[in-house]
Amino acid sequence: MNFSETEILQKALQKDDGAFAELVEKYQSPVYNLCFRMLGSEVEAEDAAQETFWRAYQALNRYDPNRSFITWLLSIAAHLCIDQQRKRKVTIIEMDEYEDFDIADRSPQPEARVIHRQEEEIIARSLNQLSDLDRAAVILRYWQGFSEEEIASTLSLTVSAVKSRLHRARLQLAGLLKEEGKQLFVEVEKEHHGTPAF
Amino acid sequence: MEHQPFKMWLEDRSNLNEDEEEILRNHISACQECASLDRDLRNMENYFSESPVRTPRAGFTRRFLASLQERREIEQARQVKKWMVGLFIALSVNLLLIASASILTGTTFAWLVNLASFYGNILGVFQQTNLVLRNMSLIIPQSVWLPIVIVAFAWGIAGLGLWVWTMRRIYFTGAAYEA
Repeated sequence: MNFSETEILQKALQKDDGAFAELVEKYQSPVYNLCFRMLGSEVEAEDAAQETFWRAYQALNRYDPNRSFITWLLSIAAHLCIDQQRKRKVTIIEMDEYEDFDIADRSPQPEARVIHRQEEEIIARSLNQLSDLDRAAVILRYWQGFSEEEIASTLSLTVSAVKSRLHRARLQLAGLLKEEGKQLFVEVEKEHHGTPAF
Repeated sequence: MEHQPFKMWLEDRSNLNEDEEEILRNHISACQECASLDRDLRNMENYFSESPVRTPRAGFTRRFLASLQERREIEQARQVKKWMVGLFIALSVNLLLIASASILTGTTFAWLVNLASFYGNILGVFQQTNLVLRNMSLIIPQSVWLPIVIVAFAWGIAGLGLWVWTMRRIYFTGAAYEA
């Protein structure tokens, strides 16, 4: 944690809403990304991310400064999303959400945009096949770049449990993406040849 | 062909040393099954490493700050409701105990008499306390009872302060105590 962040946290602890707003501004993307990848819907991700910051705001006096703030914050977000998933039991991925996905900066070509969107859909479908905790571990690993120790701290697991979950999830994802890739290849070939007989 | 420990190595390639990496590469070039697993894992790594971090719609912080006051009020109402429900339950339990004790004594009339007697006794206790305090102030010297009164007054002020602090905390954070 850098000095300015410590100062901001100190101010936020004294119920300075402006200081807490700075923390929200800084960490909104990782929190939102975790919620989105966990829940698969922009609306639910927005609500879950807002709720995460509210819970953090309420429990800020219990935050241990020796612990990384982002780890603590993502721990709240991950447990919130896992609870939400358990409540609704069935995960529904709303693929229409991806239509609004702004990838203009990364891929200015329409064709590239389509490919990127398809890739995002494949990732979402594959993640959706994992258990809640495995999914959270994968998201923290690949999008947040967390170490196994940090994932363990965030998800309240042991390091060996995280290793085991990541190991299982990677194999499962590799298999799922292979299948998805085959289907995508067939769809693309169909579009090129314009015949369902292909 | 034996695929272990190569499959395990493939699944956690970042921890291999140079020699192990060389052995693994040689095995992959000769083993189709492990080569296929290697391709699938690399493909998966590529998918995930290239996928961008999703960001919320613009104005996320503004929306959070706008909802803050509303959330506080909801939490405040929730806390008040919780306290009221607690108080109601406590009163109900007391009334039930009184009613049970009275009902067990006999008829409805006896129950009503007991209830009136119960409240009469409470009133009597207050009256007796008043008398005792007055007499005590005559018997016990002022140097003794005055500090007691001051301490009791200080406790009262402290209690009032605690109540104000709790109300203030509920208002600002939406919680009377740590969740």
